[in-house]
Amino acid sequence: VTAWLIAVLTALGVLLWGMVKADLEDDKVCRWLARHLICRAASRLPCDERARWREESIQNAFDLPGRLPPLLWALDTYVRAGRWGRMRGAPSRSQVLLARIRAAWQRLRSLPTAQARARTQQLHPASIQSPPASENASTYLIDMCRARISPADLTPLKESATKLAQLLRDVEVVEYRGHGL
Amino acid sequence: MDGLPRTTINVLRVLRVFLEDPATERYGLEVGQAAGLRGGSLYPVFGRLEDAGLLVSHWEDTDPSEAGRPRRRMYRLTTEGVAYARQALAEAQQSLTPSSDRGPRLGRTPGLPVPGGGSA
Repeated sequence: VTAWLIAVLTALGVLLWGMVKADLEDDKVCRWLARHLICRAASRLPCDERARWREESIQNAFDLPGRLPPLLWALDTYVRAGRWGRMRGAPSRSQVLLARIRAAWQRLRSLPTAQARARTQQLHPASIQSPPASENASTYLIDMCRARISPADLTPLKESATKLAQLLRDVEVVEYRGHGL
Repeated sequence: MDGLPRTTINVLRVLRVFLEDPATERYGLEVGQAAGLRGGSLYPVFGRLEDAGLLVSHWEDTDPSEAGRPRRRMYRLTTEGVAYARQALAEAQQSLTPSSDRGPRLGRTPGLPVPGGGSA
């Protein structure tokens, strides 16, 4: 089993190395990689300094002759970017991660409060936007009729529903008056 | 000026390159190659020297399409920078040269005669 594993891993390694080597022999790939590394390095710097250093680093890297020197220049910039960023006042990766975790924890802790607040708003009479009872009744009646009766027989029922709606509206008006509204 | 930067080997290397001809403007790659530094070590030094007001920089005033290359960021030492560089390099030179009256630092054992007379 061990021999097979070693053979498979070796074959995979050879394959991967072949792919990487072929990619690195391509000038476009090297340039793309160098640019990408420099952009990543610049993203570790404070926001107001990123554009300047990115442009300068890319210009310097691409001024180097050959395929690999620009890549090595970019790689060196990328590897030391964390220290450089901290020197310029940017937070480190661990600080950013810690701040994100803390923010997520705060959101998680305030979740029940937010839910309770939303529920309160939903249940508050001022926020209830339900249609009048008469409209509800007529819609219900029409729906019932559509379900059971053919469209031809619907007209008299619609009229009845309208009448009922009118009646209910009058009842509501009377109720409002009763409450002094 | 934010205060003088810490005088590291990299800072001294960069200052030495600029001191070869203080009036000449140089760009990053040129300085890096002369000082034997790559981007990751070079740019922080530039940043520190600029913050301290010892170095000034500006984008090259050329048209990239005419020049056939992207514009470069040019650096030059300020007057304070030249004075600081000379002093820092002189101090570094002095600290590396053993002074004659102290004698060799290695092998100096208490009780043994010090070269030049007297006893330790």
